[in-house]
Amino acid sequence: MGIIHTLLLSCKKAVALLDQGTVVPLSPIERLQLRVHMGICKGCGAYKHQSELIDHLLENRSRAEAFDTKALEERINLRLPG
Amino acid sequence: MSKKTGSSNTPTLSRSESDISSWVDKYTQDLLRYTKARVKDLSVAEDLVQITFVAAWEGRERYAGQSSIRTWLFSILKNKLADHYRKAYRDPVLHRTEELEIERFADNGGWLPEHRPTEWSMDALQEAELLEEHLAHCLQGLPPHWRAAIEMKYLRNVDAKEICQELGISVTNYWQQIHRAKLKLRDCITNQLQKRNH
Repeated sequence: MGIIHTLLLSCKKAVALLDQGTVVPLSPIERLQLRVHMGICKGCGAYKHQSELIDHLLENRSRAEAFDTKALEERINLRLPG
Repeated sequence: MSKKTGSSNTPTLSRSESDISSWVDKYTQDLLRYTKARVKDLSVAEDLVQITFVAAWEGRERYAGQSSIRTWLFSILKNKLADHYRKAYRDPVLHRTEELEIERFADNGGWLPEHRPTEWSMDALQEAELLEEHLAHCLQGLPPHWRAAIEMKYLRNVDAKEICQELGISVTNYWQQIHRAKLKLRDCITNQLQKRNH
């Protein structure tokens, strides 16, 4: 029983570990717990995919829209000598 | 004014005053797009771009020509953005905007049925632009200090410990905020995608 309880994470803990792992390294036992949980839980699997996709989007985003920067450029030039 | 365009690996910087205004002309749009994707208000983004150019002008002696001007300007901008997030993070007024957190989990830690994630439709994944739009919208809805915490993660190419020192919080506190922000962003994007399908 002991070992089963060590290995089984709740979904709440599992998704927290997923995001924790993107900030700090997880311990070997945490990584194992996560692997076991992810192997059987579809909901958390979907969370993982989406969390990774959000990471990717956050890292690579740049607004496609073009801004009218004329006024800003003038304002900046006023602040610079010349 | 003639601008030196020597071999690309050794960019030379003439210190004439007209050079900086040619940078303004050339890079304002790129810098502003990058910044506006990362802060809430256009006016704040514009101010950050402005102080970047002023700092570049003041620090022009330090530009050693080992990187392109664009890279150099972006490195200054990222420092200014980091300052901005640190300030936003520590702002007690912003901190007071308490986030009413919804409960997504049952007492045993399992997902409540209506909150259990399901895969986004494949169509959504192929529409990267649409997802980006939803993300931009959903970032606006984050509490300011969560947004600052999550922005720091992608801006600063440094150890989490260093970010935590800058923000004055523990590593646990930091990843918990990242996690809460992620949960909220995921909910929000899911809702946006559903709204579009109806």
